[in-house]
Amino acid sequence: MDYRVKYISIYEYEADVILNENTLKIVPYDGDNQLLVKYEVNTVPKGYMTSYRDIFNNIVFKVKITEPHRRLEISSESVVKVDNRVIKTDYEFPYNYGFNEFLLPTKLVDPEPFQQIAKELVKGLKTLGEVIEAVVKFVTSKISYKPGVTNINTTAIEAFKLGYGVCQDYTHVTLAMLRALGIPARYVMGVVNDNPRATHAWVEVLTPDGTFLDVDPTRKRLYNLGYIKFAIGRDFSDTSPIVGYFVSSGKGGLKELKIEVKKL
Amino acid sequence: MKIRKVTKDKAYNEFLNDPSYSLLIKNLESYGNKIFNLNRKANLQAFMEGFTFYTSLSYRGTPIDIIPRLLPLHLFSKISSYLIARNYVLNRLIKEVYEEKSAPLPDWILKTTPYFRPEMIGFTPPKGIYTHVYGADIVRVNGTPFILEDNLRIPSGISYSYKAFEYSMRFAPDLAEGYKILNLSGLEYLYDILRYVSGTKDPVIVLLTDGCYNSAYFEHRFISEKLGLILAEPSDIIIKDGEVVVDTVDEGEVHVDVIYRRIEDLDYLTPGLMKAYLRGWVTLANAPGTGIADDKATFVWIPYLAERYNVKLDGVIQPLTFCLYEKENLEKVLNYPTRFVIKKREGYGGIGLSIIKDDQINVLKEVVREYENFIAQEVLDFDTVVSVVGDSYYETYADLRFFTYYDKVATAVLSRVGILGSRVTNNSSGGLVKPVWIIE
Repeated sequence: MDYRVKYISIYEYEADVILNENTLKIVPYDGDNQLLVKYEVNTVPKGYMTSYRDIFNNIVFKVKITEPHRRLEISSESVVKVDNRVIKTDYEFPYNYGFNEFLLPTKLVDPEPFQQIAKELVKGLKTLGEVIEAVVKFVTSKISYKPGVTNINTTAIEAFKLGYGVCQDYTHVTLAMLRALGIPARYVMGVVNDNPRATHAWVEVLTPDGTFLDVDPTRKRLYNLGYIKFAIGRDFSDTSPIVGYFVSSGKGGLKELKIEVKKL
Repeated sequence: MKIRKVTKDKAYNEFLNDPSYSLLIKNLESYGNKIFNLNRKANLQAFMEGFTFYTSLSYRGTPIDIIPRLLPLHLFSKISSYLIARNYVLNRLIKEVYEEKSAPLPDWILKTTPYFRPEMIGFTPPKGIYTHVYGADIVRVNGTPFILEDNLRIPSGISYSYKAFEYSMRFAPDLAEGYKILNLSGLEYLYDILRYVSGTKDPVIVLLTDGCYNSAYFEHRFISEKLGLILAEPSDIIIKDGEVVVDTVDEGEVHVDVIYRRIEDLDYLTPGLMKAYLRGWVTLANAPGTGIADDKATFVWIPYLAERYNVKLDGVIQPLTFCLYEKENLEKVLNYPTRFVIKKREGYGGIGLSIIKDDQINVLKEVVREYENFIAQEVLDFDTVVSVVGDSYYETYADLRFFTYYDKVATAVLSRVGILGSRVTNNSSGGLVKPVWIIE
């Protein structure tokens, strides 16, 4: 399936901003089940822009704006082909993946405190598919969707204890549970394909074949979600769509976010 | 002579084993216990004369160890050729990235250092020189020099080598008896390179400091006085249409040709200066953006880059150093942490450096969380020296910092001594400064 994806975020400031530097991950990921056909990133006002691929192969833009401004528009427009994956879930569990970077503790996801609960939960389960379903069911039963309770720095264990959160927290807790069980899984940031209002987060689970299974704990959906992923990483901090800082005597911040996904 | 040992390591002690020291030992012995008092006096005098550095609380005297470290001329020459070649490689790398817009090492390494300057892309600095000043940290292992780090942003310390040399000569002149010691040079090379890039015969050069709270403010004053540079703070720099001027007390606004900057943050402290530079109104040294070659992840690639640029790097060894974003490397370090020194990519002055073998610091937790920001280097059992501390002689670890002014290496070399028992020799970690004599 081909999609045209537009991402526009508008920032407004009370006083002149003399320096605004941002790191952007706002174009679809190019790889795995996605093929990025074309992409373009712009800002108004214009700045010094450069791009690179990070250690996860995410496409990253850096922009530095030195022209004084009170309004900043950051936008991208891309065309991406998203393929369905062949889904196989009857891999033997447990399985030894060896040393894997997606098993390590991260800033926001420490699997350690989930060890016990995770082990209890999967007693008697024999396949990777069963484990994934059990974990997603468990996470959605423990966390209720409620915006404003958690923030971008909330860790998996904090969200778990609160019992509330948004997609980022569902994803973190799911990652923590899977990693506690020795299953490498990564954080995915992107957009859904049905009227997205903001970016979304979900999970990709590594299979013993080296492929990934996509899982959305927030919406309780499994496999071939059809979403468009922008970036992957260890946790939210690797995938933040826009992160930066500005120098100004006044305050300011995000005023509006518009995302458009159109099937071609 | 009684020398106290504070580590159990059996390192090669240069002072005791290198025959060139035998005369110095004799000279020290003839001072007897008086040497301790002289060392104390030298330190007091240095403090009174303002030879200080600023820490978060107050000005502290820069502690001096008046016993010189000896460096045979042939070794100095060898290191010096190496550093000139290495600086060529570093400068060439920076040029390739900004001017030729190509990335000879992983792009993300270059572009994720906080010192990457997108504005520099497509710009050619005067005379093609980015790295006017280059500070290299070198240690000796059984006499052989090993390079540990390249400092290319705003390397500091040359004033310390002048001052340590001076105080040692002043308070214990007899130590030099029987030695032929090379005169100190270095600052004149700095002046030469700044003049060269200015494109004029008699340029106005400003040393830009962020002020007296900078830990190296002593040095800023020292260099500007010695070379007749105008010492200015960001608020003294005015960007006009077509030129940059400095507001001086005696002569009002004076046109500036070159700014030898000792501050990193140009955007915030001197808005508009970067634009003026890019338009060719003024020259900056070092060029903005040299920090990409200062990043410790870049260090890993230098031998490869030397090959790429057809430069032979001989005479100094680069120890085994690797990036931790590669899975096999990360696994190795997590399994055998005591074999490595872990360094944070953008750390400086000993900040973000851990020798797990010595300190038992558990940095591994942090490493695991952001392994792409760390490198690992083999632990070197580098040579020790002897220092005066209080009323005793101690065996200490010391490095050598060399200052290269584009294509000339200063004979003013600094040896930084780690605090007792520590191999971390950077000044911000405490420790002493020691004079270095290059002997014929």
